[in-house]
Amino acid sequence: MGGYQGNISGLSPGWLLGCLGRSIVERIRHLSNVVGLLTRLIYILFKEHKTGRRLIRQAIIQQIYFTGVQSLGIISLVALIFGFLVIVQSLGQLTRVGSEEFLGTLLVAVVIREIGPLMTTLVVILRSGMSMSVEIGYMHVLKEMRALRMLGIDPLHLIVLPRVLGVILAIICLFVCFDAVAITGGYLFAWIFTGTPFSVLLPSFYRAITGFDVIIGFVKALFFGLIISLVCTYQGGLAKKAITEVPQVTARAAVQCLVYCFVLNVLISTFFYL
Amino acid sequence: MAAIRLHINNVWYKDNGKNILQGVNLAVQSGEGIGLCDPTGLSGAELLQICATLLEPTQGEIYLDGIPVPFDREIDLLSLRRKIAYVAEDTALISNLTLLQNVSLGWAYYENRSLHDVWEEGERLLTYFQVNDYKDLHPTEVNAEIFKRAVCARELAKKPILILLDRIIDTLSTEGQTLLISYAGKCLQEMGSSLLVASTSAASFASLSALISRSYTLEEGRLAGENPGSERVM
Repeated sequence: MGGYQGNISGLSPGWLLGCLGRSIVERIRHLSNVVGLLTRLIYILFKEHKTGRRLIRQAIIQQIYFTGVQSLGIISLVALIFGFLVIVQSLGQLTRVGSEEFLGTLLVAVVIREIGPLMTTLVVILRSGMSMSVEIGYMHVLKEMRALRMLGIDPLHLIVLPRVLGVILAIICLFVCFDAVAITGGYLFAWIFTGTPFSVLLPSFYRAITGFDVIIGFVKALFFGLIISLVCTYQGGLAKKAITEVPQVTARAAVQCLVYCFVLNVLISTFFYL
Repeated sequence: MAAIRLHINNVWYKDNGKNILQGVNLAVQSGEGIGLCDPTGLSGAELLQICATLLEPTQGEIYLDGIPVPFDREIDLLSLRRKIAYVAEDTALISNLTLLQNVSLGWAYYENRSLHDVWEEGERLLTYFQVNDYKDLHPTEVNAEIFKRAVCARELAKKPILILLDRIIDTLSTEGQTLLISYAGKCLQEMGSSLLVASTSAASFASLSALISRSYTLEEGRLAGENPGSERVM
């Protein structure tokens, strides 16, 4: 009873305002740290571009392989499912109102502009972002980062930079793959199951898609890749002393990546398409 | 008289409000070895980490070859660390690299080579420390003795001007100790490196008597005085 009363008395406007203020300050501090990390990486990219080139190149290739190539299977499956569902559902509704010729327009708006970047981001966060956060967290806790620094190697250069570049390049490629598989594969499934001819889709699709859509898709993929890699490596770096900190920072990294990417997606779509 | 290689000038270090180091002064000459007995194990590690430029002192300066260590400039610190061998009992190896790749990593990075190109040099050091048979194994696959010898090989591969050994001597086998002492001695003689050894017991310095010219005890973060049988330079 006492605890209950304590909770009620604690929920005063002042207390709530305090919580809100602390939360905002914490978010601003976190964002400024991530921006600081980005600034440092850009500086390293141009200042240290001659040192350790072969190791860095190798690390970037490994990251692209892990994030891009090894994710192709799951990305293709997700793309097929979403492509099929969007095409089947859209076709059903459009046929009712006799507007099948708008199927392509709908596909471009839904799959290319929105679902493609978001689903690719989701898969990359779950598969690569979290593992990056875990890896870097463990390296910190096990003092491997200190060992690198003692070798005169900046961990930001050898560990973080290749991951950021690798994830950005991989996510752009995955985004292209997602769209291609979602449209062609999805339509293939729709054709198999519903017998919808290609002549319904192709002309309207070509009419609807523009270079602008593709560029915006790339811009989204680039920023999402940057957010995922920066947030996950930053959060991983916050694990300092105990192994038990690693799952905590990893969970935090995943949630923050989701929130930042989804909010940025809304902002970009609103800015360019409204 | 040999030049001063490392000069610790009135160094203070505070952690969580507690004074770990309180005004430590010490000068180490080129080619000289000094022992630091830290019975409590509270301040020796911090002092060596400050000398390794891994920790910034709360107050005071560290001079390496007469030049103050720029603790606020990470890029300069990185290049300084390439000349300092720091081996502590908790020094790590990179777990996703083999022992040979760990030893070769520094060369590969700075000479823009792949880890495959620098194997010969790495193998030479692993052979010296008698762990070459384990060169293709990862750090998690070898026992503590092999692990520590590989750490020694990696750090001494830098051809360091300053060697910092933090409680590592006691944790090595007699054979491991002999190899480390012999290689460190070679560095002191041939390259004029300086040696700073921290241990929780002064008895550990017995095996290092050929290298250590004087030893001190750290009490409550201060260099309490020279231990018997050693002469003070400062």
